[in-house]
Amino acid sequence: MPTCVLFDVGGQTYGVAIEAVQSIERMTRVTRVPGVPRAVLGLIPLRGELLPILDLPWLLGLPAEGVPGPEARVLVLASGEVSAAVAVDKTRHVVSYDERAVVPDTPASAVPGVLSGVVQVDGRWVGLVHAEAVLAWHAS
Amino acid sequence: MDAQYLQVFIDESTLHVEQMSDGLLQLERHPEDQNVISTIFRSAHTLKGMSAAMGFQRMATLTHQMEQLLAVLRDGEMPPTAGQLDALFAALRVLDAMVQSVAHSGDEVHGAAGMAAAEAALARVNGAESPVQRSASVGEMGEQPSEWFRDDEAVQRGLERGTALWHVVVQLGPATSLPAVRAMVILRDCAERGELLAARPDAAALQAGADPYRIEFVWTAGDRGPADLEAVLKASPEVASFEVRPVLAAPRGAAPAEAASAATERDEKAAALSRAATETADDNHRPMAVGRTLRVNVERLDQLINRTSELVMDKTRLEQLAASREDRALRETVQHLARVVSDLQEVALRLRMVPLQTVFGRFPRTVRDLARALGKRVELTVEGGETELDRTLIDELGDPLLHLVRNAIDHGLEHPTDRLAKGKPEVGRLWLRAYAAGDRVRVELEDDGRGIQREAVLRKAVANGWVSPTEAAVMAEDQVHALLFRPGFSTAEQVTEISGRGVGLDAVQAQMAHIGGHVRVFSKPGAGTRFVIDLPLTVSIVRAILVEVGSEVYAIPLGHVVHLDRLAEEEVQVAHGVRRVRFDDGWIPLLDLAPLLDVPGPIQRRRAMVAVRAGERIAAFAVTRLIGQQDVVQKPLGAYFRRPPAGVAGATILGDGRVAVMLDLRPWVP
Repeated sequence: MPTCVLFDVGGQTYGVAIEAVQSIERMTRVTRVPGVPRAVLGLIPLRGELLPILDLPWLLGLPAEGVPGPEARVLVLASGEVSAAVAVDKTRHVVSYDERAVVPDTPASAVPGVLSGVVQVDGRWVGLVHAEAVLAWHAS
Repeated sequence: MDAQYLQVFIDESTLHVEQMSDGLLQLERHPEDQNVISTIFRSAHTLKGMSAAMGFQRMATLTHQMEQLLAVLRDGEMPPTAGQLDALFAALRVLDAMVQSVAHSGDEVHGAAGMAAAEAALARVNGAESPVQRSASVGEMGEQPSEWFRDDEAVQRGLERGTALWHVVVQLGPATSLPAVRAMVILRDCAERGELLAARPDAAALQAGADPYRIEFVWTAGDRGPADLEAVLKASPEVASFEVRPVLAAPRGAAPAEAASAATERDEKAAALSRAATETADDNHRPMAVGRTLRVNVERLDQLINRTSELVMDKTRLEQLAASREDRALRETVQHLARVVSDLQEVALRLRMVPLQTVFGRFPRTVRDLARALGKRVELTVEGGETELDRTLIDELGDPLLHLVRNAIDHGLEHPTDRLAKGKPEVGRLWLRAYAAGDRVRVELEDDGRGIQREAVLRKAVANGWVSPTEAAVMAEDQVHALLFRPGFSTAEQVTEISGRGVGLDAVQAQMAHIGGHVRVFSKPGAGTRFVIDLPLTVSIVRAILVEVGSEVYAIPLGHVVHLDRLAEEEVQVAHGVRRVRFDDGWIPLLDLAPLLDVPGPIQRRRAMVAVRAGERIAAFAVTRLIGQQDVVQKPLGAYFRRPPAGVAGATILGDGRVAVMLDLRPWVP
């Protein structure tokens, strides 16, 4: 039974595989970098290292975010050598789900591959974010 | 497998393979040099002992065979033939692959492809060219009984099948009664516990009156070791002494038998490794280290450096705070702290420095192998291997450099006949140089080959639609060279296996940019080509100018900055639509940095400018304000970015914890 971390973004709840989440951090100031792909909002510092922070609402096909609230957090996603951060409105809890119950249903506005489907958890439908796709997607 | 022994083994083996490589190259150039044969032999012997102690049977076997051939060469009068040298090089290649395999996976298996061929090659040159066959037991350097059984059919078949064969020598005591009978009984007993493949003297010979006091035979028990056999021989009172040695093929999993050793496996390993260490230290072929060294876990080192960097930020903040307080004691303490932290950071960063020899070490053999494969003659000269570079940069340098070397040998250097026809010496030259230049390190690869053929390059560029024929006709030389770095460029008529497609140069450039470096090429048609890779000395600590552009802060490394100044609108001239300012006794173009960087929001008046040099050209960039100069830790953008965006050379974390993107403005200098 795969396990995922639930979080809210753009007023909706999503989940991402727990293996892909390296850490959860407090929201921090984003520094814009000129000339980067659309998916990249900029860089954030983390314990002496630099991490790109990605525009998750845009990747998911959601309208742009407002100002982050007090519960806003940063999820650090990692796959192999590549890691990047995404900002979320709040993090919920960790749940397991039956992968056979996943329905492949992604909105047309989302970047292809970023959502691997939806599944019902605790009585609500959550979108499953495919971390590797998020980390690998570059607009040239 | 003990992890600590494994690391020691990997490090020592790598060193020995390199020493053998250097030795063989030297031997090839000077076949009469007997000393170098001994040196190579010693390395092979040490490597054999270490491999056996660690249980790497294939490595032990292969080095054993190399050692045999080397012993023949060492004791013989004939210089090595080309065939013998090739066989040794081939075996060394397989050995190297096995060491790499151990380094990556803890097992030699993944590097063992080609071992059979290498063994065959060694056997061929060994058998054909020397009358005396020698064999040596693993880990021992003693009396060498001859391998009389080598041509025996049963033995050959056993070897082909890959079973473990043992060569046993039994000496009967001189007072043995009925020694011939005794000998036959021993042969029979041993045959019962396994399979007797060959014996000398055999039963028939013994009956005919052959000397029974010394019997030798080849015996096998499939996958089982010779323990049974040894038990029988030990139990027999007439046996004065016996020896059991492995024969060629690698026994699966069984450690080779050492004559009567009661030491535990651990002690054996430690003994072999310490023997290796002493021998290596005594061998003045390459000094182990100047002074004492220590192996350090790379992750821990990185942690140390990150924490030190955070300390530097706190130090900067403390300096600011202390300056604003009227507290002398505080200020003095902070000053002292600042000095200590600076020193600490410098030391921490130095810890990551590694000499370039670690990358260069592989190249002599690679060049030799490539040259032979292509039928060319190449002489490589390596200079400046002691130049140091940050460890992360070293890791990234190997592949691109290899690619350039392959290109040079494959496309740059001509065939010997062509060279002679051109009046060049038959042997092509290749130089690999490293040197420090200010806060940069340069690695050069130069060849005296055919150089970049302008016509061929332009033809390809026009064919690909990158350049119009008119542009091509008037293109400047450095622009023609720049075309080589375009993706998908290759002037090779065939796609050779050696160099692959022309994916090379653009990938090399991108990889170097990723680590804060770049590649330039210089060439003279007919005379040769020189690539210069320019890299930062350390992966951090760069002196930079901090500037404000709108509400954003950027850091510009001082390296290419030639001038900083206030900017007054009155001093700006406009000519042909281009804004200019005075510089020295001339004019340089003035560009606005804000639109180049897409800085959002309203931009205040540009009140300052930074003049940057790119090669021969200089330009000034207008910014909102100059903040100051600072030492910053330059960090790469990270693995997420496959290529850094144009003009971006990493980023840095400032003293106040903010991130400032670092700019390389040279691409924008018109």
